[in-house]
Amino acid sequence: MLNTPDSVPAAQITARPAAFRARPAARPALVALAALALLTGCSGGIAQSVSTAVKDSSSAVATARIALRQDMDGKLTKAATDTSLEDGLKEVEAGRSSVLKLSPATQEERVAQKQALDVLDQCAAGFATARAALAANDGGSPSLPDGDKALADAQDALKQLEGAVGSR
Amino acid sequence: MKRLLGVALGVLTAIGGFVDIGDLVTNAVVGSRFGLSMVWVVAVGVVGICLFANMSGRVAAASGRATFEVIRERLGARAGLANLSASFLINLMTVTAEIGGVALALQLASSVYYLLWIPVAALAVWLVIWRVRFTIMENVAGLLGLTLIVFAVALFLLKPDWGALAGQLAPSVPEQETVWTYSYYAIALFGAAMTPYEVFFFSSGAVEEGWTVKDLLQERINVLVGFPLGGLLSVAIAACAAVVLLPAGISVTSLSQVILPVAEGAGKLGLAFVLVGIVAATFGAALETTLSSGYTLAQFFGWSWGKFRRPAEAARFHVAMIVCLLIGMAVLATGVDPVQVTEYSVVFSAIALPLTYLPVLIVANDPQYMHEHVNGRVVNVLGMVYLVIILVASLAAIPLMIVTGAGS
Amino acid sequence: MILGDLLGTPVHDPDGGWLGRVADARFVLDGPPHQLMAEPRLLGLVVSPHSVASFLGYERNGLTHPWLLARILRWRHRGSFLVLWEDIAMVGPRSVRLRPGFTRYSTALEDRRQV
Repeated sequence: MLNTPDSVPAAQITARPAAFRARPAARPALVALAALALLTGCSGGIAQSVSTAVKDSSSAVATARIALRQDMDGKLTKAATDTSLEDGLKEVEAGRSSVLKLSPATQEERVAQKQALDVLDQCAAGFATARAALAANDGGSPSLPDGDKALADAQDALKQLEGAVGSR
Repeated sequence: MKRLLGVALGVLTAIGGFVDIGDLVTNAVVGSRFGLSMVWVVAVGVVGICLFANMSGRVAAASGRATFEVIRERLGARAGLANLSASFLINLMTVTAEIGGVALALQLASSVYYLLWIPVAALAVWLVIWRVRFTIMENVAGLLGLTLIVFAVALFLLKPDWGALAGQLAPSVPEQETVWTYSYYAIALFGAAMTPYEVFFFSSGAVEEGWTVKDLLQERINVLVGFPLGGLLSVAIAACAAVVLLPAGISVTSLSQVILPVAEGAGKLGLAFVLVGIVAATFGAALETTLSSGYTLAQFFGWSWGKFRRPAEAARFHVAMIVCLLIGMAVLATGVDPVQVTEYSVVFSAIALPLTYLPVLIVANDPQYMHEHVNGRVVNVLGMVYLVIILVASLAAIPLMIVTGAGS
Repeated sequence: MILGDLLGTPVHDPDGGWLGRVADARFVLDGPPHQLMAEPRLLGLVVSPHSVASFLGYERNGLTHPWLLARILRWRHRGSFLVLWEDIAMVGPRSVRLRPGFTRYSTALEDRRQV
């Protein structure tokens, strides 16, 4: 048979490969993908952004409270607590700046933005107190319980806001 | 006796080497948001990686060829290059994530900002790759990574309600999540368990260590015992998060949250263990991924490669790895969150899986490469089932990423 | 023009009818390798009516596993054939034309070292 070459099977030496060219079919798919991205990117609006920021921040504040409590119980090293607080603060800051960037269109949305910013500011302040307490961990003020109190208050404010955003 | 010791060592390093930053972060995220409702995904992923690693190890031992040599031979230059580019970029992303993970863990230990640790971590990776013997490197990282068992210990010390925990095992979408985010994270978790770099690394490692068909039995034990135990470790990470973080309404976005359950259960001692474990696991994975990027490039372009050669004899291989480390450092220096890089890297790993899986599956059936060691019938049936799973995960990943806004 | 550019080029019969595209080029080794390199000789082109993607090794008859994959890949290349270089009248940048009376050889390869 002609196509059975000698020695090495030809499969190994064929100048392979089948063309890898951008197929025309790929283009409509890309367009569809881009359109989808645009659609999902634009949906949501103020309430959506506020609720995301609030949810992320309440997760961060809850984390910080656990870390502080563990620190007070001697379960967490200062370095780890400090890192936890720093990460949490970063999360709150990110949420705060995303709310800050919103451009509300109605009076109601302006109120929502203002309320959210107030609460997120309170969270950031709570983190500041907690970090100061950790740094001044020599019986001075603020003490760790003060830090925990500030975060707990922020947590309550977040919960109220969450309720308000949810009911709106 | 010596043989038994060798098997034990292999299994232990396989357990320690299973978990990397992708597994740590993804399991903790999933545990904190979905409880244990995705354990089945870890199980599917573990069976998949066992199958896949076993096949590529067998190909390497029987043919003396590592994964990317095979890919190039089977797909040819052009399709092979497209495959290489995709696999290489995703691997680079994983290198970046692992180095970021080392730095984040060092910050947790020292409170020195993680960006300052990044050059240190990258330099250490380079030095180890340059100087340390392959087997020593593998075994030390793997054994130290075993300290992550503290996640399982902490879970017991937390004294959870086991009944309630077991009740979460059934696949179901929690009410605050959607079926889309659930599917997205299922794919991420699958990608984290199946990480393709482990396969490049595994097959190249087999060549590095000069495996022959005689070593196949040990290879099989390492994989079939080590990886499932590594999978159990991942489940323990998720369970810790499900017990401590989920009820507190915390969804994991940083590494400092991943360790809190361990500190809760096992205190400062547990914290010390988990930090050693995370540094070892991410550092070990940084070594593996950096080597993998060198392996893939060198194998594709036909350069001399391997740590068994002196660096001067494999100059391009070593230069390629240095360049990869520098790129990873540059990406991290922009201040991008390493945890976010990790989350993307596991999803993209899932997307790229068919690219490496299919050629390995095909070659493992080719008697010209494998002689009598071709896949058996059972392996082939499983192999085809996984080909379908991998294709579905790969195709669904990008649309799900867009619909869910990357899982937010 | 290099051989790689031919891949994907449309192939027509002497009357201009569409036959498919160039999916592969096939070589033979006429003798044992010389001092440095083996000397492969271009035997002909593989023309495939449905797909110009790689055969992924399944052009060899000996390769039948995994069964489903083999079936799918063979089905994708159904109707493909090998034309010898002697049967090719003209190779242009946009098309390849065959001589009248060209022969369609099977693309299958017998694997002699099959175990």
